[in-house]
Amino acid sequence: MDQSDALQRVVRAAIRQRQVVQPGGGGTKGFLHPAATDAVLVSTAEHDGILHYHPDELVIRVRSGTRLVELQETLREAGQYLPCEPPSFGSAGTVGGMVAAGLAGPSRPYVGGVRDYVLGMKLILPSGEIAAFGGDVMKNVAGYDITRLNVGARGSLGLMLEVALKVLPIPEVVQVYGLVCDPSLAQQHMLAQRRLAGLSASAYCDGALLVRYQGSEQAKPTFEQALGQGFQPVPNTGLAAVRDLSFAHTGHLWRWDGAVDAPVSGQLVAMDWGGALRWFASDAAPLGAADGGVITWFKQGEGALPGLTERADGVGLLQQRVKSALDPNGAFIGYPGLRPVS
Amino acid sequence: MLSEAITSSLRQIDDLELIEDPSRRKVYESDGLTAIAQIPPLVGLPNSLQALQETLRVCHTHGVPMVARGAGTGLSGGATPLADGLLIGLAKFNRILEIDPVKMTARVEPGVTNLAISKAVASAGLFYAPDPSSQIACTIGGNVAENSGGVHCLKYGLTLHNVCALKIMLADGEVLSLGGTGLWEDGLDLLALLHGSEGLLGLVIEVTVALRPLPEAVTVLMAGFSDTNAAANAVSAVIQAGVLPAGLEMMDRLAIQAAEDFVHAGYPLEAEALLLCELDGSGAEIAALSTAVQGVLQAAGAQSLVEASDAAARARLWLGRKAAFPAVGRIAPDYYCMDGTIPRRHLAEVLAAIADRSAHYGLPVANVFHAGDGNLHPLILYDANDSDQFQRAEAFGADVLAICLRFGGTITGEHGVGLEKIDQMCIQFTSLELGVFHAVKAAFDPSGLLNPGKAIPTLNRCAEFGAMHVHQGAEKHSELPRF
Ligand SMILES: Cc1cc2nc3c(=O)[nH]c(=O)nc-3n(C[C@H](O)[C@H](O)[C@H](O)COP(=O)(O)OP(=O)(O)OC[C@H]3O[C@@H](n4cnc5c(N)ncnc54)[C@H](O)[C@@H]3O)c2cc1C
Ligand SMILES: Cc1cc2nc3c(=O)[nH]c(=O)nc-3n(C[C@H](O)[C@H](O)[C@H](O)COP(=O)(O)OP(=O)(O)OC[C@H]3O[C@@H](n4cnc5c(N)ncnc54)[C@H](O)[C@@H]3O)c2cc1C
Repeated sequence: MDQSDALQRVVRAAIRQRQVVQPGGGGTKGFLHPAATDAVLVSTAEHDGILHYHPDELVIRVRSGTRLVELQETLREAGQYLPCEPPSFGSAGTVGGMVAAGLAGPSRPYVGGVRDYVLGMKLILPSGEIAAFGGDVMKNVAGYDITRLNVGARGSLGLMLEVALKVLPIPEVVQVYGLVCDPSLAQQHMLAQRRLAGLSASAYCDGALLVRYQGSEQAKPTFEQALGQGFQPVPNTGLAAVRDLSFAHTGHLWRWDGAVDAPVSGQLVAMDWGGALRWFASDAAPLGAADGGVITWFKQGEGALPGLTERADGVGLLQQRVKSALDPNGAFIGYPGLRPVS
Repeated sequence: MLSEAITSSLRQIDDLELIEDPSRRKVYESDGLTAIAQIPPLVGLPNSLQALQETLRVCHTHGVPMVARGAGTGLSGGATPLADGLLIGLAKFNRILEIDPVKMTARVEPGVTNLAISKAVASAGLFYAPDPSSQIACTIGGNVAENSGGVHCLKYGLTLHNVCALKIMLADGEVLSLGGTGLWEDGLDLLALLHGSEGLLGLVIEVTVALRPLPEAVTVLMAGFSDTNAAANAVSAVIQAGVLPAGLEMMDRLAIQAAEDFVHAGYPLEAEALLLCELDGSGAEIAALSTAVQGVLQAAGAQSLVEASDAAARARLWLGRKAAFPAVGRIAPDYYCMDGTIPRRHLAEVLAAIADRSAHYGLPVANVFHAGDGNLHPLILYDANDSDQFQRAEAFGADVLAICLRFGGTITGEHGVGLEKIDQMCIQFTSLELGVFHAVKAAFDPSGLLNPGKAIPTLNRCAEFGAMHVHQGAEKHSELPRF
């Protein structure tokens, strides 16, 4: 149901009372904002519904509170899907939350991330006013790309009301293959298999390398042959553990982003994106494992949080200038500091 | 004019070639939008990053506006010089710095041409997917600044989707690396923001592009239709069938004829509309895919159908499409290339509205269409020496943009706003939205020295254009009653 007016009223009231606004959807990813703030949570949970969907144009526009599961079901009925395959943490996750979190699933290196599938949005700006950027078309270079700037901004630049997404046809065949091995052998395979036609995931967790094929029935045997000895078809749900971070681990969860061919550290608990994304679990920051990549804090475990800080390098400072320019009074929450204090 | 003090400071910079001679400066007076020209007071061609940085610092200190120029093939006046600014040519930065066949990336300087990248990586079995028709000339820096597309965008995306990292230089000379070490960077996505920023936020000084393995098999289908509507429906039918072609292009009768006369591609001259559909994939699947798509095209009413599977035959079919602009340039003294994107379901209405305007202004129009992604290039034919025709062409162009907006589209899909469409920005965006753009600009370039007057109009300019309120009223909610 359209709640734009109500949401705008709540945001405006908070601004008047100088309370910081934190947009929220299903609240499944509250963990993304570690420092508990006294921000008012403005929930889009009731602001849902599909506004239009034209399968032959590969475009769908939805209200931000639309449940991801509802979106996915609607697309499935038309033989289409959201290729960035965002993780799903139960049924409460919303499209707005997915876009604001900007987290992409295992297909990221092969088909792109969340921002690659967001075409336009309407949002409540930190001034309390409503603006629209981008549109319902594939190509649009009028004005700066404010739409994609909001993808992954974690609600720091405004509250999204509507999002237009690009979707794709579901591939004819999707099949995951597994091989039990250690992380360094997994990396060797990952590097050797990078160019396989039809590769759509290459991840490692719970002691097994998982490789996914998607494409036509005809080309599948070629893919299987190229995989080589030892790979067995496994249920496609195997990859969900990497996507949803439900693999076995204890302690805080840290992400490492770096080059696929950077040396593999024995301490990692999982790898995704062909080795470009690695997960570490520990109470202290695994700084020793950085090895050319960047470590950021991701999710709290049982223990107390170690010190985290906003980036203070040139890019971090420019990011902060952009945030202050778009939200000069700090009406919306900041982008949380995610880097460990070294 | 630039003061002698500034010019002499610039003369001190090593590795900076300054062009002061008026006849040599004239070469830079316009980009691909030749209707707007301005001879730059001074042109600087830095040959090292240090020289570029010192140049920016001198300009920054003295408050001199700067315009970056790649190859100058832009079609919206983005690289048009300013009367009081320095034109900075980046063409000397033309080295490919690194090709990494494992990561499948190439790190290149901004002046490397688009095609040079694909040529350099072909021996490693890779290619760079975005392929603007100007690819032999346009630079990767210009591609980033415009977020350029090409005929392969439907499947492989725009420049934005194929760039993993950028190095940029801000107006004051600060150098920043965007894009992080892997495939994700924490914080706001400034990498995305730089794409399509038309040289207003920072200069692109290094680009790391993502490469893809060359497909094992490629085939091109060409289908002729007796009306544009049927061709548009065929495009929908192909996508409905679950196929994602590597390219899906449409041309109308006038474009077909111009291209055929020019390059003899073997196009069906009796057709009202032509579709070119490129399919790629592995050797094992391509035949079945092609058969399936041929069935869809036939069912959609194709009157002729040709398949080109060997490289030479494919190149011949594509040549007509890729040379469509110059081909149209042969049948009229001048043409004005528009670039709206529309939701494809409105194609028939949009084409009818354009035909209506064509009759109204008495100027013919040829349509070339990136059909898969709804990006329409109407080419308005006119004679620039006839000032009345020139004015009619401009008015016609403005009408085309308004038509695209009326049907829920955008004024520019890939050519950018530049100087050309700056007034139409006042129609597409509210003053509030323009204010967001101004805030972003201020965060990157507080002194407003990079490419001022392009891409984003000031509110004053919009007030003069007088369109702000029309937009809010008539364009956005035209279904509502007005009192
Ligand atoms: C343990 C765990 C791990 C997870 N891992 C991932 C993962 O790796 N990738 C992933 O995509 N999902 C992950 N999620 C799944 C997440 O539930 C879904 O992506 C979902 O879409 C998030 O939506 P939400 O509505 O629950 O978001 P919320 O948790 O409500 O919000 C998430 C973020 O988005 C912002 N936000 C929400 N709605 C809006 C809006 N309308 N406008 C502006 N900002 C908004 C919030 O401020 C917050 O920063 C995880 C969840 C859990 C519990
Ligand atoms: C025949 C023809 C066909 C075309 N076909 C297509 C097509 O199919 N698809 C498409 O998208 N475009 C097309 N174009 C448009 C044009 O080629 C593209 O916009 C191209 O990206 C411009 O590159 P350039 O190097 O020529 O840039 P220029 O024209 O020199 O500059 C374009 C803009 O980018 C800025 N700029 C240039 N380099 C940098 C840099 N390093 N850092 C920051 N800013 C910079 C300039 O200031 C200017 O605003 C075509 C043009 C022609 C003439």
